[in-house]
Amino acid sequence: MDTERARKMKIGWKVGGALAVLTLIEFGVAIGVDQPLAWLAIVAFGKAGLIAEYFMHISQLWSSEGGH
Amino acid sequence: MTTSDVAHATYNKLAINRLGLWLFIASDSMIFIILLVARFALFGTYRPPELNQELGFALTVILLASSLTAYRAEASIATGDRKGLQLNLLLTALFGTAFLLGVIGLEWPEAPHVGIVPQEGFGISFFSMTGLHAFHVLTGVIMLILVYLNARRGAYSAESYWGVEGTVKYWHFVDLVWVFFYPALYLLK
Repeated sequence: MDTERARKMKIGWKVGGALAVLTLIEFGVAIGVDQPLAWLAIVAFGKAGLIAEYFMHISQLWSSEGGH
Repeated sequence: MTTSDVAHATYNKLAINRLGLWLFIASDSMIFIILLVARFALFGTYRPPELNQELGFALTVILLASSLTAYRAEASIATGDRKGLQLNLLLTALFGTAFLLGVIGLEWPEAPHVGIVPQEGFGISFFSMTGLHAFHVLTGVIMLILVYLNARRGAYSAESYWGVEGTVKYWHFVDLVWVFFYPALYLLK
């Protein structure tokens, strides 16, 4: 159980870190790029994908993992 | 009924709960998508330069932190850590409250001073988007507090925690909406 907890927490930190980096990137893009719409859209969809898969576990809808 | 039958029936109930919540999220997303499309249809990529960039960024960081603590709350109870669940639920509710105070207590009173008013121009989109989102944050904070109170009474275990999972999923949805609203409101030019 402790190993499982450590594994889950590690995933949380990694995804949280990735989201923080992407947020910094989009802030930088907004400042440094003249027409940032496309770049901002790409980053936003990247962040949304991470949240949907790792935080919201959307793949549980079509798999039997994560039962309790 | 065998133990296997009971386990199967329990899993089916969980699968149905999850599907139901995702259907709700999909339907709730529609109103946010409409607001986002309306923002671009009315104003293109225009954004008032007077909008408080630093506050928008700070609000985003707060909501991001709340998503991490929400994830940790669910991961804690999934591995039987009830103290971790309670602590992280409380932290998530606090981050959510801080976000609300930032939007309603700082951003909204400040915006009219730089010409962004709810009745006209960009303010129509700005106040309707942040307002509907803030309402979802408020309902999320209320649910988090209710789940926290249930958790204190020992209502959840590693074997049964749908109340936690459903609330945390809803909270992540609120964060997911902000992922698109933040650049659309604060970062375009």
